[in-house]
Amino acid sequence: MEIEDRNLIIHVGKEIDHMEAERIRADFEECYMRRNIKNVIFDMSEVEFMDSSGIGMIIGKYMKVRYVGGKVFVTGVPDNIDRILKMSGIYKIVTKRDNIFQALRSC
Amino acid sequence: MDDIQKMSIEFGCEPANESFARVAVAAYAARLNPTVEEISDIKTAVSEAVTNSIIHGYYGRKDGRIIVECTIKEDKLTVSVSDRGVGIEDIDKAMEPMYTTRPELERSGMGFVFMEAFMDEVTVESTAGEGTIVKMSRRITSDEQINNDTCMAVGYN
Repeated sequence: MEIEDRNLIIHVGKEIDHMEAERIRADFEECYMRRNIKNVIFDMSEVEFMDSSGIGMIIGKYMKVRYVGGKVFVTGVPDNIDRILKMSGIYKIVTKRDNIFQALRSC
Repeated sequence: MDDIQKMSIEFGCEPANESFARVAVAAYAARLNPTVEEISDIKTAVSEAVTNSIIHGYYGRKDGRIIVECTIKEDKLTVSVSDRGVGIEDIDKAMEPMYTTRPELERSGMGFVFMEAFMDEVTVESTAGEGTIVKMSRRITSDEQINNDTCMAVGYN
């Protein structure tokens, strides 16, 4: 995880399942408590597999940052992961950008 | 005998076994020549069912066992995931999109939605206090052209 201003960048591992989502949740909580985070950017460029745990993880972060007017972004989304994200309807609340740089510019 | 094709694995209810289960089923399904997309769909569906058994069926327990059985008949893969956990009181409710009994764990309530989206058929049998069996099936296209493209894409040829 990296922090730039009030933006938290989360580099997601290859497989987002229950275990990876729990790991990210724990890391996020620690970071979120200490810093004044507004926006969250999920860098999905390395992701090869995702199940609904990933959807829960992203919605969870949205629920947190929306109270401070923050946004959630996903970047570098591979096609097979994009299919799952579309199917879940999550793009109603989350913005997709090609890369982290573009997401930071939209923050 | 159809049974000669059958595969079954049994494992404990620890989260690390979720990836083991989906990879094992994907390896078994490989004999049907699935596309990369079909493999991805099957892995996601299996992951959902096994995660449900661990998070809901055996919540707070360490001694639970999960059985995954697979069969192939012609071009159809059937997977069943069973546990002897708490069972589901109201199956229709459990299958509703966004319904979850564990929002505090950031569960999306999309598990059954994904299973139904990625498999052709999904049936759930459950008895409160006794356990749950999720049966799923999917026809594999075995499209030679698509699979040749897939092999090229992953660098097999």
